[in-house]
Amino acid sequence: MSEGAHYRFPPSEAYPLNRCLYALKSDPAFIERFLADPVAATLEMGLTEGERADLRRMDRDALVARGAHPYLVFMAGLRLKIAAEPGTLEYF
Amino acid sequence: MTHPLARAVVEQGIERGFDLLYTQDAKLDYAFYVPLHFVMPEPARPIVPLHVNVYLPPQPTPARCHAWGAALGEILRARPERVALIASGGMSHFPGTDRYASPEFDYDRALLDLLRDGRGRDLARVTGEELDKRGNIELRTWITLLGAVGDVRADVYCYEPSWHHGNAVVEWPLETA
Repeated sequence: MSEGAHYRFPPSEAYPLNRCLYALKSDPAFIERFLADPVAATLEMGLTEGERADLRRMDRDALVARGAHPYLVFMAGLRLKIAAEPGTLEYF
Repeated sequence: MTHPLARAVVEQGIERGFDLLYTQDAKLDYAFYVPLHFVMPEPARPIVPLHVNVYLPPQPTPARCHAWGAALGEILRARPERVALIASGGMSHFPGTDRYASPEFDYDRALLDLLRDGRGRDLARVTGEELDKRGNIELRTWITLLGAVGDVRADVYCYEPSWHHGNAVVEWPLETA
């Protein structure tokens, strides 16, 4: 798959970031921990300071540039939005 | 892996040259429960969930999906159970990218015309790059099913574009023994 593809091979350095995004997508207990204490939750996942800052802002382009999978960024953002504003599911 | 059909699919798939993996604890997400919500009869029937990696490169090629589907069809036809094969996956769709709000509806419509004509096997020749470019990477699940159903003409019940997605409901009516 070319470098210009929408969905690219994730670099190994981005493994903790992608595991964290996957947990936000699929693990309700982790979402609760993240919402209660994002610093502790993301440290627990081994994220770097830069990754944690981009995740706090949900800066998609910055996260993808770090090797995050776009689908995981999308789904993690969606689950956090639903957690913050129940009832938003219909819109997405 | 509790149902005999599940074990037959894995064992016979491997015998036919497809290096399948199984898991005892994968969670089933919306790709499974949304279609099942609409089609599962009462009382509920056992399901054998099959995953196809569509999003994480390196994905299987469309040709490989089609070949696996053809083998799967042969395995299922030799089984005593009556089986419904269901494929779930988005049509034009670019989640997490700048293309999210501009799907390729024309590509979807041309695709549905091709399925109506019973030319599903043409999709075995599409490249992974094209699927990525057209927002149809999830079509790998459809292509797998197409390998199993062969050249049967599809009944396209509907196609509904949304602001970020093309949605279709399609059935391939097969002769039952």
